[in-house]
Formats: sequence, C-alpha cells, structure tokens
Amino acid sequence: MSASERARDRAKLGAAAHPPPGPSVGQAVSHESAEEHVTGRARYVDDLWPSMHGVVHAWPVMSPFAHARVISIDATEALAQPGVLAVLSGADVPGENDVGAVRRDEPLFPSVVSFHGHAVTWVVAETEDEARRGAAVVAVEYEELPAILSVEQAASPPGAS
Amino acid sequence: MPVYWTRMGVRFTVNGEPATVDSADGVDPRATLLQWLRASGRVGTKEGCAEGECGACAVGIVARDARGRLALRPVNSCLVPLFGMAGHTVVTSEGIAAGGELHPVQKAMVSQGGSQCGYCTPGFVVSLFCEYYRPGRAEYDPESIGGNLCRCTGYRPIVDAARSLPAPSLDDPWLETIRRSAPALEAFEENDGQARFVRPTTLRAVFDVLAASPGATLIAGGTDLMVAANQRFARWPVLVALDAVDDLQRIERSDRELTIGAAVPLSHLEERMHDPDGVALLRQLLPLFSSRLIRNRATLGGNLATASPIGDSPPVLLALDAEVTLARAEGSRRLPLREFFLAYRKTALAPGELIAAVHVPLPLPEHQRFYKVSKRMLDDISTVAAAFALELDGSGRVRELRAAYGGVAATPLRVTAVEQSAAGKPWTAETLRGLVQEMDRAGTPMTDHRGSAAYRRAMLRTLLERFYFETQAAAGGEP
Repeated sequence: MSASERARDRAKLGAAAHPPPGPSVGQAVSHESAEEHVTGRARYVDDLWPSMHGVVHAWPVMSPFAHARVISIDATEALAQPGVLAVLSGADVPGENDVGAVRRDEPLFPSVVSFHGHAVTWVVAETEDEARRGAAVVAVEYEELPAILSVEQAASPPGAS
Repeated sequence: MPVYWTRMGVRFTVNGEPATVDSADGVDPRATLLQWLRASGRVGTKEGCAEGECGACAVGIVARDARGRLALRPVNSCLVPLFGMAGHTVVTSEGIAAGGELHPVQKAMVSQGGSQCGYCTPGFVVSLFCEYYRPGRAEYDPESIGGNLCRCTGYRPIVDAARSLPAPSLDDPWLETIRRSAPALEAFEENDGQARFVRPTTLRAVFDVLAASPGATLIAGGTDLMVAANQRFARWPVLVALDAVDDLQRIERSDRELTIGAAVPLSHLEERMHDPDGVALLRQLLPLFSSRLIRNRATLGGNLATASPIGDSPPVLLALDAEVTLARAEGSRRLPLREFFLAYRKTALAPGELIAAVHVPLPLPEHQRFYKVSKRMLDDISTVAAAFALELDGSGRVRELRAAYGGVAATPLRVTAVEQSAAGKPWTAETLRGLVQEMDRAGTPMTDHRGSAAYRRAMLRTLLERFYFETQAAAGGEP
C-alpha cells in the first residue's frame, strides 16, 4: 500500500464519527434471519417447488458397490413407468460431465463408481414417487473393482492386501 | 370388502385451520404427514433424515398423557401416516406465533442466538413449544430436545433459550386451545384402489380386516415401519392402524402382574414408570430406547413384533420374565416372551395374530439393570444391550438371576446356562468368575459396522461384570 493510499484510508476513517453512531459492541444483535427461522418462514431450495409450476423431480440410481465400473445402463423399463420423463446420462450433459467445485474429479454421471451409494444416473419424473419407482427398475450392469474398506487395508502398502 | 368406507376424506386441524385430505383428490393413502404438509405449501416443517433421528420435521399433536391430561406431544411427522391424523390437532412452527407476535419460545430462540443456518430450527421450536406447555412442568427437561439434532448453531444457545422459558401465564390462549383439542378418533377407511389405510377402533374390527386382507400390515406408532417406507421405498397395499384401538391402550396393574397394552405409546409407559410402583428396568430403558419424539409414538408391541436382534425392549422384557398375549379372531393365547423369538426377525405370531399386551410378573426382582452399548449414548441403535434381574436370599445367595442380551445372536436371548449356574451360589467375586467363563460360550455374535464379533463377545462378559459390581455396591458388599 502506497503512502497516498494510506492517507486516503485514514481520511475515510477520519470521516466516520468515532465512536460510530449506533455502536454494536455490547449490544445484543439477533441473526438477521432469526425471525424467519423460528416461524418456519425461511425458504430453502427444497421449499420452493410446491409454489412453482412445471417442476419435475429427480431420483438417483445408486451403486451397491464401493468401487465398480459401470458397464451398461438399461432404462427401458423405467422409461415405460407412468410419469417418468427421462433417465439422464453423461450424453445429456452439453458441457463437462463434472460437478467438482475445486478439483475437477466429481463426474455427475460416473463411469467408475468410487463409493457405495454413488449416483450413476438420475430418473426424472412428474412426481418424486414416480421418479423413485422409475429408479427402482433401472438395470445397471457393474464390474466390481477392488475396494479399500478398512483402516488396516488403507494403512497397508499398495498391493500388500 | 372394505369394513369402513368414506368418500369424503378425513378431517383434522392444522394450525387452527380445518384440513381435509381425500384419496379421491389424488392424496396417496400411504403419504406421510410431512409429505402432505410440504406439498400443500406448509414448507416450514423440514425433512432432514426421513428416519426419525434429526427432528427437523417435528410437529405438535394434541394427545392425552398417561394421566389423561391433554397435552401437546411432539412427534416426527416424517414417520406419521397422514391419514392417521384424522381427528387430531396438529401444530407446526408456522402456527405458533399469534397475531403477528412471536411466541415466548420463538422470542427466546431469537434473543439467545438459537439459530444459524436455521434448517433444524422449526423442529427445535416445536419441541420447545410442546415442552413449554407440558402439564406440571416445573423446569425445562433437557430430554425435550433430545430428538432434535443441530449441526451448525451448537446446542448451547438453544439450551440457554430453553432454560430461559418461564411458565405460561394462566390466561395463555394456547392452554385453552389444547384443552379444546381432544382427539376424536373414529374408525374409517381410505382406499384409492391401489392402497388402503384402515383405522379400526376395536380389536374385532382389526381381525375383520385381517381376515378379509390376509396380507395387511399392522402399524402402531410407525416409527420403525415408516422408516422402511421412506428409506427403502417399501409400499404396503393395506395398512391397519392400531393407535385408535382402546383395547391395546391400557396399562393395568394387579397383585400378580403389570399389563401393558401393546399399542401404549412409550411416553405413557415412561410417565407411569416414574410412579413409586414403577419398574426400574423399564425406567432405565426408556430414555436410552430413543428420543422423546419417537417415544411419543413408539410402542412395545411394535418393538417386539419387528423382532430386531438389536431392539432394546426385548432384553429388558426377557429379564423381567415377561409374557405376551397374542390375539386373533378365534381367541387369544399367552406365551412367555422367551418363546416368542424364533429366528432372525421371525416370531411366534401366526397369520392373523397380533400382540395385544405385555405382562410383567410381580413382585419385581430386587436388583434390575439395563445397559446399552452404542456409539452415541442417546438417539442411537444398540451394538449390544443387556438386562439383568437378580433376587438374593437372606444369606446373600442367588435365588434367581436373569441375564438377557440383544445384539449377540440372531434373536434377543436369555443366557440360561449362566442363570442356572448362578442359582444357589453366593453373589461373590468367585461366583462371578465362574459365570463369566460360562458367558464366554453364550451367543453367536457377528461382525458388522456397529462392532466386531470379538467386541460383542467382550461385552457379554463385561456387562455381567458391571452388573455384579453395581449390585455389590448397592448391597453394601465388598466387590
């Protein structure tokens, strides 16, 4: 910071009353959303759909394996269920198939499952119930891969187990 | 053939407004109260875990306590069948403030900084609101928020808010509202062609439904069954609610035994067990069994019928030498509970039969202890649970020892070899050594994510030792 910048900051600070009007130190200040929280009026993302039109619901199809390669996904039966609109896959992603916020290592539709319960595809339907019904009949073929499932395995040198 | 039929849906009260739900309007007879609340725009009540652990979905329901007083009881709306609310009065976080002014509970949460992200807050507010009006409340009961989890605010400010609550004023309008909101539980059936929800009010009518629909599923509190609906998408074509059947709701005491109706909510039992003639083992069990939110709905009948090897009531009732009355249309029979569990999740219940009551023989054993080993002390599932009952004679010899365990075999079990070995021996460290060796041969513990077989085996022995030392201390003897 240059001397002139410091002088400008001092001038700004000096312009404020000291102490400032309405001091906060020593005052109880409630959370700006507290009244909304305690009355149930605060809105979260999942609270918005009941008051919107045309909202559809998605339900994941999740891997029963901790580590596996996805060989194929057959959505024929799911798509025949009432209310089911689509079964999404990597081909439906116009851009990059990744939702990792920092490291780009979280494919939205993974070809390799990296944890138990990893969503491999999503069923979109008119209602949540229909999406769940659809997800229950998506046939996914996996090739199970070795997985590290204990502290002992994780601590042993690669290849030792 | 339906036993009851309504074409006008069922009625109840939500936040002072009448509500009608009707499967003819497309409302699923299998819906939960929470699903309906949120789909109808009452989104202040949140879904967190959908299995009764987090309490974000807590709502208050007016019901009678064990003394017959009307009170607000908080429950997990994610585990309550919507149609089961027929005739009830429901209060959510959105219905607590009156005339544009926050309720004292809400003011306390605001001023004490009891919310951060706010997602769990509506559930906490409901639990605190029900606690505020608990009949006879002298001070704040920490258990009142035992079923509400918070993951960012921290409990300190919430507990501060709870502790700051005064008694309600005598002219508090909510007291009058609660007094006027006695549940009116009538029999009905809701049927949309796919699913039926039937609520009989007599056992006879329950048996009629079971005879007409042999595959029907019984639901009492729903705290176990509805988890399967939410988490595993289990769907039952016919649900028969037992919570309005008076015959299953009684707690009676004779000289010979204490009889607990199979559908008595555990909070009722808990209130009764704090009376001077209460059963120590049940008193010890209930706080560890589950949160208050769950205990306001859960029942002994449900916990026994689901026959989980890690259920908490079976070891306690086994150690009390309890019997069950199993009832069906043709009549009823009594069975010692130890003969009830046949194999993993298999019971002696015949088709069309239900648990009507649990009987605890009197007089009670002198020494009673329940131990629960779990990752969290409260609001958790057992890794191993043990219940012991001991009667000593005048010379300090074992008249009778009963040792019952959960989590060490495919069913809850009594360790008869240890019990028989103890009989007639002095209750001493030397006897204990022998019993512990015997205990090493008991059960068939297995390894799962809650604990290894070796750990469970160690608990078999350790909990018996603990019981010994605690009873020695109580008896004033030398350990």
